Amino acid sequence: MSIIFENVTKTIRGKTVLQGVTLSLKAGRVTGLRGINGSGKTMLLRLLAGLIHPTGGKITIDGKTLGKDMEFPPSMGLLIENPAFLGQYSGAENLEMLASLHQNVTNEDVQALLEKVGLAADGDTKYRKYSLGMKQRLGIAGAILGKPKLLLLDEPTNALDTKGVELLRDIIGEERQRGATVVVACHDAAFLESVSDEIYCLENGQLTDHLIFHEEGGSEQ
Amino acid sequence: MKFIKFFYLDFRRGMHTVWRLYLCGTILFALLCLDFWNRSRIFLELYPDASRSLGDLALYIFGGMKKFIPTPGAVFPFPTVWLLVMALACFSSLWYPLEDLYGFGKTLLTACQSRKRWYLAKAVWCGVTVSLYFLLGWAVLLFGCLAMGGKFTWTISPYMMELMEITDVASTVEDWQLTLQLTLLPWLVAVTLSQLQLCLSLWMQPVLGWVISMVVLLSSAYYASPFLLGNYAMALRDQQVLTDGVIWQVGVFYCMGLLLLCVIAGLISFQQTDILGKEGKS
Repeated sequence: MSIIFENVTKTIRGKTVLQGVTLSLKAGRVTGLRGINGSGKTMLLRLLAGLIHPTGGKITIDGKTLGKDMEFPPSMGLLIENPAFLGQYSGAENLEMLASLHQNVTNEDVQALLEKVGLAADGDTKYRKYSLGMKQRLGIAGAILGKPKLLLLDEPTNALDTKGVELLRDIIGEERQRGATVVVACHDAAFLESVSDEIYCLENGQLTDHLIFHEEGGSEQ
Repeated sequence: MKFIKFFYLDFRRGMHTVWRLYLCGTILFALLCLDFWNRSRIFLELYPDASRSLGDLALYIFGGMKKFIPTPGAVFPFPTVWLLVMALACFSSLWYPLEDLYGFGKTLLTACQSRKRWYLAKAVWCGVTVSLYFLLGWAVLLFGCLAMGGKFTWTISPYMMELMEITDVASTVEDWQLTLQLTLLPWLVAVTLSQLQLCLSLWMQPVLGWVISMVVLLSSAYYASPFLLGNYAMALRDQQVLTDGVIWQVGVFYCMGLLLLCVIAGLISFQQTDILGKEGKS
């Protein structure tokens, strides 16, 4: 999945939250977005997810314009802001509800996912009884459900312990190997550098830097 | 198929948020039955041949109020019973759609890949929620009528007319037309208002949409105008009861037209709506 942002601008209630953003995202690569709170990382992810529309410029996915030729990127996994699941259902039931909208995801896949994120023992516990870290793990599980071609993760390390961060690092690596286009927004510079092939730095809604750690084709910089 | 799956998920999740309102609705209808039983007792004591009917009970709850003619010294008789029932009907479908969009529904929206599907599922959910409210209400009324020994007929007794101070009733009120007035129209008006609220919630806080519904209903109580939707939800404003009243058939077309307009407007608007987090909502 090849994604291009062409001079994308977004204004919300008179405030410009993104200005003149031009970047490209490729399949099989992990792109990091770095910036302080309010720099525009989440807005960029929301634009890419099709949740909001650019005020100027356009976003194309494999040559098709988002918001015009398609409403949402096909085959997308998303973890934006806090994970949002239903408190009265268990972790497994929440994932099964999501899985029911995917054609190729079975309940066995859901159990395997819970095991992958370290929630196998808590799959039948009601979501409202989960700790913050457990909720975040379930959010990650929900994002990778159905093996999406595009994976958007906003501050995925929030509330995760050391083991959880390691798990997340492994998951991102696996998604990259699988050929997914992965975008990770995070203010944790060390984590971002450890998982990303390249990083775009944002400040006040503008791209200020572009760091490449691994060229396409695998060579390191 | 995906729409049906989507709606099923909505139904499951939405009912979790609405069951408390249904409980309030059940209690409200039960209290109104009790109130009617208490008020109508005096007629049974005064007139040996008096009796209560389902029509009497339904008219008491869904009848609304007579046409108000403002004159010096006249006090507006607030249609409390009717307004409470309609207000709760409109409130029942208010919160879930937008709350869902900020939460789990956002994930489902991107998974189902269609804003139209999301909006249509919510529109259907609002209609179903209001319909279930009325079904529950009618179940309570039927039980209430049974409990007070009333007759299962739609015929309005002269004592009921006296209770509701109706003096200018048309000499023949067809039972089947009254049935429609008391069952179909309040439900249809409430469903239409729920669609209006859903559409408005794309631009403003849901509670403001409900306030607009209340303004429509209150204005309708004050002004007996065919342009004010609430008039069609009041049997006492129908031309079968009121000489220059509204025509229920017009009410049906008016509701259907407005309902369709709200759904279309909402569908078009939602295509362009920015789905921000709760912090982005004005």
